[in-house]
Amino acid sequence: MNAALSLSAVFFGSLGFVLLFNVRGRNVLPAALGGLMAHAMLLAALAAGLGEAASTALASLASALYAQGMARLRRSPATQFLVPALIPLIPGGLLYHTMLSAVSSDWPAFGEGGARTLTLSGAIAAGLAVGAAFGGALRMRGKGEGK
Amino acid sequence: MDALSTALDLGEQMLICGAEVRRVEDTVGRIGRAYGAKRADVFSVTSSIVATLDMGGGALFTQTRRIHDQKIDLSRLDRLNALSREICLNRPERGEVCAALERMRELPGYDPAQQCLIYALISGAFSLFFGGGAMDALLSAVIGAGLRVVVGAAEGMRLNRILAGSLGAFAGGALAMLAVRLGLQVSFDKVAIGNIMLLTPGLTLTNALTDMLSGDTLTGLIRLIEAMVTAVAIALGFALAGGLL
Repeated sequence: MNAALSLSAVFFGSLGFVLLFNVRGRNVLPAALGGLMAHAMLLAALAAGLGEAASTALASLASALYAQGMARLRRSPATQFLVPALIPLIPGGLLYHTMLSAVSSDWPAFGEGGARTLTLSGAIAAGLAVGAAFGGALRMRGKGEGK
Repeated sequence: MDALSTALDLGEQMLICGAEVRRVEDTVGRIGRAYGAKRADVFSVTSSIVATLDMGGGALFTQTRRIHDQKIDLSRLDRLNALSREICLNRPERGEVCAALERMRELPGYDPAQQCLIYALISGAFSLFFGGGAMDALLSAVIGAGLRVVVGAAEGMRLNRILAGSLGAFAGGALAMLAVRLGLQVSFDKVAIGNIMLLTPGLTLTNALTDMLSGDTLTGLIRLIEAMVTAVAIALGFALAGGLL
Protein backbone atom coordinates (compact mmCIF):
# COMPACT_ATOMS: atom_id res chain seq x y z
CA MET A 1 0.00 0.00 0.00
CA ASN A 2 1.38 3.42 -0.74
CA ALA A 3 2.71 5.45 2.15
CA ALA A 4 0.56 8.54 1.58
CA LEU A 5 -2.65 6.54 1.84
CA SER A 6 -1.48 4.64 4.92
CA LEU A 7 -0.34 7.85 6.59
CA SER A 8 -3.61 9.64 5.98
CA ALA A 9 -5.53 6.57 7.17
CA VAL A 10 -3.45 6.61 10.34
CA PHE A 11 -4.08 10.31 10.85
CA PHE A 12 -7.85 9.89 10.65
CA GLY A 13 -7.75 6.73 12.77
CA SER A 14 -5.80 8.56 15.48
CA LEU A 15 -8.11 11.55 15.18
CA GLY A 16 -11.01 9.17 15.81
CA PHE A 17 -9.44 7.85 19.00
CA VAL A 18 -8.54 11.37 20.12
CA LEU A 19 -12.23 12.27 19.89
CA LEU A 20 -13.34 8.96 21.40
CA PHE A 21 -11.18 9.65 24.45
CA ASN A 22 -12.76 13.10 24.68
CA VAL A 23 -9.69 15.22 24.07
CA ARG A 24 -11.06 18.66 23.30
CA GLY A 25 -10.35 21.98 21.69
CA ARG A 26 -6.86 23.02 20.78
CA ASN A 27 -5.27 19.75 21.87
CA VAL A 28 -7.16 17.66 19.29
CA LEU A 29 -4.94 18.37 16.29
CA PRO A 30 -1.53 17.94 17.98
CA ALA A 31 -2.78 14.73 19.60
CA ALA A 32 -3.89 13.26 16.26
CA LEU A 33 -0.66 14.41 14.60
CA GLY A 34 1.20 12.35 17.20
CA GLY A 35 -0.26 9.19 15.67
CA LEU A 36 0.84 10.32 12.24
CA MET A 37 4.33 11.08 13.53
CA ALA A 38 4.64 7.69 15.26
CA HIS A 39 3.60 5.79 12.15
CA ALA A 40 5.95 7.82 9.93
CA MET A 41 8.75 7.02 12.37
CA LEU A 42 7.87 3.33 12.22
CA LEU A 43 7.88 3.33 8.41
CA ALA A 44 11.18 5.21 8.31
CA ALA A 45 12.82 2.79 10.73
CA LEU A 46 11.53 -0.21 8.79
CA ALA A 47 12.78 1.33 5.53
CA ALA A 48 16.18 1.86 7.15
CA GLY A 49 16.34 -1.91 7.61
CA LEU A 50 15.57 -2.18 11.33
CA GLY A 51 13.50 -5.13 12.51
CA GLU A 52 9.83 -4.93 13.43
CA ALA A 53 10.37 -4.82 17.19
CA ALA A 54 13.27 -2.35 17.07
CA SER A 55 11.32 -0.03 14.76
CA THR A 56 8.30 -0.18 17.05
CA ALA A 57 10.43 0.59 20.09
CA LEU A 58 11.99 3.54 18.29
CA ALA A 59 8.60 4.89 17.21
CA SER A 60 7.32 4.45 20.75
CA LEU A 61 10.30 6.36 22.14
CA ALA A 62 9.60 9.13 19.61
CA SER A 63 5.96 9.19 20.75
CA ALA A 64 6.97 9.53 24.39
CA LEU A 65 9.27 12.45 23.61
CA TYR A 66 6.65 14.06 21.38
CA ALA A 67 4.03 13.73 24.12
CA GLN A 68 6.31 15.24 26.74
CA GLY A 69 7.26 18.09 24.46
CA MET A 70 3.63 18.80 23.63
CA ALA A 71 2.64 18.53 27.28
CA ARG A 72 5.14 21.21 28.18
CA LEU A 73 4.11 23.39 25.26
CA ARG A 74 0.41 23.10 26.00
CA ARG A 75 0.67 22.76 29.78
CA SER A 76 -1.55 19.69 29.91
CA PRO A 77 -0.73 16.10 30.92
CA ALA A 78 1.35 14.05 28.50
CA THR A 79 -1.24 11.23 28.49
CA GLN A 80 -3.45 13.29 26.17
CA PHE A 81 -0.78 13.20 23.49
CA LEU A 82 0.79 9.86 24.30
CA VAL A 83 -2.23 7.58 24.01
CA PRO A 84 -3.25 8.75 20.52
CA ALA A 85 0.36 8.59 19.30
CA LEU A 86 0.59 4.96 20.39
CA ILE A 87 -2.62 3.90 18.65
CA PRO A 88 -1.02 3.03 15.28
CA LEU A 89 1.80 1.12 17.00
CA ILE A 90 -0.37 -0.99 19.26
CA PRO A 91 -0.75 -4.49 17.85
CA GLY A 92 -4.53 -4.60 18.27
CA GLY A 93 -5.17 -6.31 14.96
CA LEU A 94 -2.46 -8.83 15.71
CA LEU A 95 -3.93 -9.54 19.14
CA TYR A 96 -7.28 -10.21 17.51
CA HIS A 97 -5.83 -12.53 14.87
CA THR A 98 -3.93 -14.38 17.58
CA MET A 99 -7.07 -14.98 19.59
CA LEU A 100 -8.92 -15.89 16.42
CA SER A 101 -6.42 -18.68 15.85
CA ALA A 102 -7.00 -19.77 19.44
CA VAL A 103 -10.77 -20.05 19.04
CA SER A 104 -10.29 -21.94 15.79
CA SER A 105 -7.70 -24.23 17.44
CA ASP A 106 -4.92 -23.22 15.07
CA TRP A 107 -2.23 -23.59 17.73
CA PRO A 108 0.89 -22.97 15.61
CA ALA A 109 -0.57 -19.64 14.41
CA PHE A 110 -1.63 -18.86 17.99
CA GLY A 111 1.91 -19.41 19.27
CA GLU A 112 3.49 -17.32 16.55
CA GLY A 113 0.90 -14.54 16.78
CA GLY A 114 1.08 -14.51 20.56
CA ALA A 115 4.85 -14.23 20.55
CA ARG A 116 4.74 -11.40 18.00
CA THR A 117 1.99 -9.56 19.88
CA LEU A 118 3.86 -9.76 23.17
CA THR A 119 7.14 -8.76 21.52
CA LEU A 120 5.61 -5.68 19.91
CA SER A 121 3.77 -4.64 23.08
CA GLY A 122 7.00 -5.16 24.99
CA ALA A 123 8.83 -3.03 22.43
CA ILE A 124 6.30 -0.23 22.92
CA ALA A 125 6.64 -0.47 26.70
CA ALA A 126 10.43 -0.44 26.44
CA GLY A 127 10.36 2.65 24.22
CA LEU A 128 8.06 4.37 26.70
CA ALA A 129 10.28 3.44 29.64
CA VAL A 130 13.32 4.95 27.95
CA GLY A 131 11.28 8.02 26.99
CA ALA A 132 10.06 8.45 30.57
CA ALA A 133 13.61 8.16 31.87
CA PHE A 134 14.75 10.87 29.46
CA GLY A 135 11.83 13.08 30.42
CA GLY A 136 12.47 12.58 34.13
CA ALA A 137 16.14 13.47 33.71
CA LEU A 138 15.26 16.64 31.80
CA ARG A 139 12.71 17.70 34.39
CA MET A 140 15.15 17.20 37.23
CA ARG A 141 17.77 19.30 35.50
CA GLY A 142 15.18 21.98 34.86
CA LYS A 143 14.23 22.21 38.50
CA GLY A 144 17.63 21.48 39.88
CA GLU A 145 16.19 18.76 42.11
CA GLY A 146 14.38 15.44 42.10
CA LYS A 147 10.81 15.34 43.31
CA MET B 1 -11.91 12.20 57.91
CA ASP B 2 -12.45 14.76 55.15
CA ALA B 3 -8.90 14.83 53.80
CA LEU B 4 -8.93 11.09 53.18
CA SER B 5 -12.33 11.21 51.46
CA THR B 6 -11.23 14.14 49.29
CA ALA B 7 -8.02 12.40 48.29
CA LEU B 8 -9.87 9.21 47.42
CA ASP B 9 -12.58 11.07 45.48
CA LEU B 10 -9.87 12.45 43.24
CA GLY B 11 -8.09 9.11 42.98
CA GLU B 12 -11.30 7.29 42.16
CA GLN B 13 -12.25 9.72 39.39
CA MET B 14 -8.74 9.62 37.94
CA LEU B 15 -8.76 5.83 37.81
CA ILE B 16 -12.15 5.86 36.06
CA CYS B 17 -10.84 8.34 33.47
CA GLY B 18 -7.92 6.07 32.67
CA ALA B 19 -5.03 7.40 34.74
CA GLU B 20 -2.06 5.16 35.43
CA VAL B 21 -2.14 3.43 38.80
CA ARG B 22 1.13 5.03 39.76
CA ARG B 23 -0.24 8.52 39.13
CA VAL B 24 -3.31 7.74 41.23
CA GLU B 25 -1.23 6.52 44.17
CA ASP B 26 0.95 9.61 43.85
CA THR B 27 -2.01 12.02 43.81
CA VAL B 28 -3.81 10.43 46.75
CA GLY B 29 -0.63 10.49 48.82
CA ARG B 30 0.13 14.11 47.94
CA ILE B 31 -3.33 15.32 48.87
CA GLY B 32 -3.20 13.38 52.14
CA ARG B 33 0.13 14.97 53.05
CA ALA B 34 -1.10 18.42 51.98
CA TYR B 35 -3.83 18.10 54.63
CA GLY B 36 -1.27 17.29 57.27
CA ALA B 37 -0.76 13.53 57.17
CA LYS B 38 2.63 12.54 58.55
CA ARG B 39 2.59 9.50 56.39
CA ALA B 40 0.37 8.27 53.57
CA ASP B 41 0.32 4.66 52.45
CA VAL B 42 -1.62 4.24 49.24
CA PHE B 43 -2.08 1.10 47.24
CA SER B 44 -4.07 0.95 44.06
CA VAL B 45 -4.81 -1.55 41.34
CA THR B 46 -7.13 -0.88 38.42
CA SER B 47 -10.23 -1.85 40.38
CA SER B 48 -9.50 -0.68 43.91
CA ILE B 49 -7.72 1.94 45.98
CA VAL B 50 -6.83 1.62 49.66
CA ALA B 51 -5.22 4.45 51.57
CA THR B 52 -4.10 4.92 55.16
CA LEU B 53 -3.27 8.37 56.48
CA ASP B 54 -1.26 8.72 59.65
CA MET B 55 -2.28 12.09 61.12
CA GLY B 56 0.15 11.76 64.02
CA GLY B 57 -0.56 11.03 67.67
CA GLY B 58 -1.78 7.54 66.86
CA ALA B 59 -4.65 8.79 64.68
CA LEU B 60 -4.76 6.44 61.69
CA PHE B 61 -7.47 6.59 59.05
CA THR B 62 -8.10 4.03 56.35
CA GLN B 63 -10.59 3.97 53.52
CA THR B 64 -11.05 1.81 50.45
CA ARG B 65 -12.75 2.49 47.15
CA ARG B 66 -13.86 -0.17 44.73
CA ILE B 67 -13.81 0.97 41.10
CA HIS B 68 -16.16 -0.87 38.80
CA ASP B 69 -16.06 0.84 35.48
CA GLN B 70 -13.53 2.60 33.35
CA LYS B 71 -14.33 5.19 30.71
CA ILE B 72 -11.26 6.82 29.24
CA ASP B 73 -11.77 10.58 29.23
CA LEU B 74 -8.54 12.46 28.77
CA SER B 75 -9.88 15.99 29.08
CA ARG B 76 -11.51 15.19 32.40
CA LEU B 77 -8.25 13.63 33.53
CA ASP B 78 -6.57 16.90 32.58
CA ARG B 79 -9.02 18.83 34.79
CA LEU B 80 -8.64 16.34 37.66
CA ASN B 81 -4.89 16.88 37.57
CA ALA B 82 -5.35 20.63 37.72
CA LEU B 83 -7.81 20.23 40.58
CA SER B 84 -5.44 18.02 42.56
CA ARG B 85 -2.65 20.56 42.16
CA GLU B 86 -5.00 23.26 43.39
CA ILE B 87 -6.06 21.14 46.36
CA CYS B 88 -2.45 20.59 47.40
CA LEU B 89 -1.78 24.31 47.12
CA ASN B 90 -4.89 25.81 48.77
CA ARG B 91 -6.31 22.95 50.86
CA PRO B 92 -9.98 23.86 50.25
CA GLU B 93 -12.90 22.60 52.35
CA ARG B 94 -14.37 19.27 51.32
CA GLY B 95 -17.58 20.95 50.16
CA GLU B 96 -15.69 23.01 47.62
CA VAL B 97 -13.94 19.97 46.21
CA CYS B 98 -17.23 18.09 45.92
CA ALA B 99 -18.75 21.05 44.10
CA ALA B 100 -15.79 21.19 41.72
CA LEU B 101 -16.12 17.45 41.01
CA GLU B 102 -19.84 17.88 40.44
CA ARG B 103 -19.23 20.72 37.98
CA MET B 104 -16.76 18.49 36.17
CA ARG B 105 -19.39 15.80 35.82
CA GLU B 106 -21.67 18.23 34.02
CA LEU B 107 -19.09 19.11 31.37
CA PRO B 108 -20.21 18.04 27.93
CA GLY B 109 -19.01 14.84 26.32
CA TYR B 110 -19.73 14.06 22.72
CA ASP B 111 -23.41 13.20 22.30
CA PRO B 112 -24.47 9.78 20.95
CA ALA B 113 -24.89 11.01 17.36
CA GLN B 114 -21.41 12.52 17.38
CA GLN B 115 -20.06 9.32 18.88
CA CYS B 116 -21.60 7.32 16.04
CA LEU B 117 -19.59 9.51 13.66
CA ILE B 118 -16.44 8.98 15.73
CA TYR B 119 -16.93 5.20 15.63
CA ALA B 120 -17.47 5.43 11.86
CA LEU B 121 -14.31 7.50 11.42
CA ILE B 122 -12.17 5.02 13.35
CA SER B 123 -13.60 1.99 11.57
CA GLY B 124 -13.26 3.49 8.09
CA ALA B 125 -9.73 4.74 8.69
CA PHE B 126 -8.44 1.44 10.05
CA SER B 127 -10.14 -0.57 7.34
CA LEU B 128 -8.15 1.49 4.83
CA PHE B 129 -5.02 1.23 6.97
CA PHE B 130 -5.15 -2.57 6.95
CA GLY B 131 -5.46 -2.68 3.17
CA GLY B 132 -9.19 -2.40 2.57
CA GLY B 133 -10.55 -0.65 -0.51
CA ALA B 134 -12.92 2.32 -0.58
CA MET B 135 -15.96 0.03 -0.52
CA ASP B 136 -14.63 -1.94 2.49
CA ALA B 137 -13.88 1.27 4.37
CA LEU B 138 -17.30 2.71 3.67
CA LEU B 139 -19.10 -0.40 4.86
CA SER B 140 -16.84 -0.65 7.90
CA ALA B 141 -17.70 2.96 8.76
CA VAL B 142 -21.43 2.27 8.51
CA ILE B 143 -21.14 -0.84 10.67
CA GLY B 144 -18.95 1.15 13.08
CA ALA B 145 -21.74 3.67 13.58
CA GLY B 146 -24.10 0.75 14.21
CA LEU B 147 -21.66 -0.67 16.76
CA ARG B 148 -21.98 2.49 18.81
CA VAL B 149 -25.69 1.72 19.11
CA VAL B 150 -24.97 -1.86 20.21
CA VAL B 151 -22.34 -0.72 22.71
CA GLY B 152 -24.72 1.93 24.02
CA ALA B 153 -27.46 -0.65 24.45
CA ALA B 154 -25.08 -3.01 26.25
CA GLU B 155 -24.10 -0.19 28.60
CA GLY B 156 -27.78 0.54 29.18
CA MET B 157 -28.37 -3.09 30.12
CA ARG B 158 -25.32 -2.96 32.40
CA LEU B 159 -23.75 -5.96 30.69
CA ASN B 160 -20.25 -6.71 31.86
CA ARG B 161 -17.42 -5.48 29.65
CA ILE B 162 -16.36 -8.88 28.35
CA LEU B 163 -19.86 -9.90 27.33
CA ALA B 164 -20.52 -6.47 25.80
CA GLY B 165 -17.37 -6.78 23.69
CA SER B 166 -18.38 -10.20 22.51
CA LEU B 167 -21.87 -9.01 21.66
CA GLY B 168 -20.49 -5.99 19.76
CA ALA B 169 -18.10 -8.23 17.84
CA PHE B 170 -20.91 -10.64 16.97
CA ALA B 171 -23.14 -7.80 15.75
CA GLY B 172 -20.31 -6.27 13.71
CA GLY B 173 -19.36 -9.64 12.24
CA ALA B 174 -22.95 -10.51 11.41
CA LEU B 175 -23.48 -7.22 9.55
CA ALA B 176 -20.24 -7.64 7.60
CA MET B 177 -21.19 -11.24 6.74
CA LEU B 178 -24.64 -10.11 5.66
CA ALA B 179 -23.07 -7.61 3.26
CA VAL B 180 -20.86 -10.32 1.80
CA ARG B 181 -23.82 -12.68 1.38
CA LEU B 182 -25.85 -9.92 -0.27
CA GLY B 183 -23.18 -9.87 -2.94
CA LEU B 184 -21.53 -6.52 -2.12
CA GLN B 185 -17.97 -6.40 -3.43
CA VAL B 186 -16.32 -6.35 -0.02
CA SER B 187 -13.97 -8.60 1.91
CA PHE B 188 -15.17 -9.78 5.32
CA ASP B 189 -11.70 -9.47 6.86
CA LYS B 190 -11.04 -5.93 5.63
CA VAL B 191 -14.42 -4.69 6.80
CA ALA B 192 -14.19 -6.47 10.14
CA ILE B 193 -10.68 -5.23 11.02
CA GLY B 194 -11.90 -1.63 11.12
CA ASN B 195 -14.55 -2.56 13.67
CA ILE B 196 -12.14 -4.77 15.59
CA MET B 197 -9.90 -1.77 16.24
CA LEU B 198 -12.80 -0.22 18.14
CA LEU B 199 -13.26 -3.19 20.42
CA THR B 200 -9.81 -4.65 20.79
CA PRO B 201 -8.01 -4.09 24.10
CA GLY B 202 -4.69 -3.22 22.49
CA LEU B 203 -4.19 -0.24 24.76
CA THR B 204 -4.82 -2.39 27.83
CA LEU B 205 -2.21 -4.85 26.64
CA THR B 206 0.38 -2.13 26.14
CA ASN B 207 -0.45 -0.59 29.51
CA ALA B 208 -0.02 -4.02 31.08
CA LEU B 209 3.55 -4.28 29.88
CA THR B 210 4.28 -0.66 30.79
CA ASP B 211 3.03 -1.31 34.32
CA MET B 212 5.21 -4.39 34.65
CA LEU B 213 8.26 -2.54 33.38
CA SER B 214 7.74 0.21 35.94
CA GLY B 215 7.42 -2.29 38.78
CA ASP B 216 3.63 -2.46 39.16
CA THR B 217 3.65 -6.18 38.51
CA LEU B 218 0.25 -6.87 40.03
CA THR B 219 -1.57 -4.23 38.00
CA GLY B 220 0.31 -5.37 34.93
CA LEU B 221 -0.82 -8.96 35.42
CA ILE B 222 -4.43 -7.94 35.98
CA ARG B 223 -4.39 -5.86 32.80
CA LEU B 224 -2.64 -8.58 30.81
CA ILE B 225 -5.24 -11.20 31.73
CA GLU B 226 -8.05 -8.73 31.14
CA ALA B 227 -6.72 -7.89 27.67
CA MET B 228 -6.40 -11.57 26.79
CA VAL B 229 -9.85 -12.54 27.99
CA THR B 230 -11.44 -9.57 26.21
CA ALA B 231 -9.57 -10.37 23.00
CA VAL B 232 -10.75 -13.99 23.11
CA ALA B 233 -14.33 -12.84 23.68
CA ILE B 234 -14.12 -10.49 20.69
CA ALA B 235 -12.50 -13.11 18.48
CA LEU B 236 -15.27 -15.55 19.46
CA GLY B 237 -17.95 -13.00 18.58
CA PHE B 238 -16.49 -12.31 15.15
CA ALA B 239 -15.71 -15.95 14.46
CA LEU B 240 -19.26 -17.06 15.30
CA ALA B 241 -20.77 -14.37 13.09
CA GLY B 242 -18.35 -14.88 10.21
CA GLY B 243 -18.70 -18.67 10.17
CA LEU B 244 -14.96 -18.95 10.75
CA LEU B 245 -15.26 -21.76 13.28
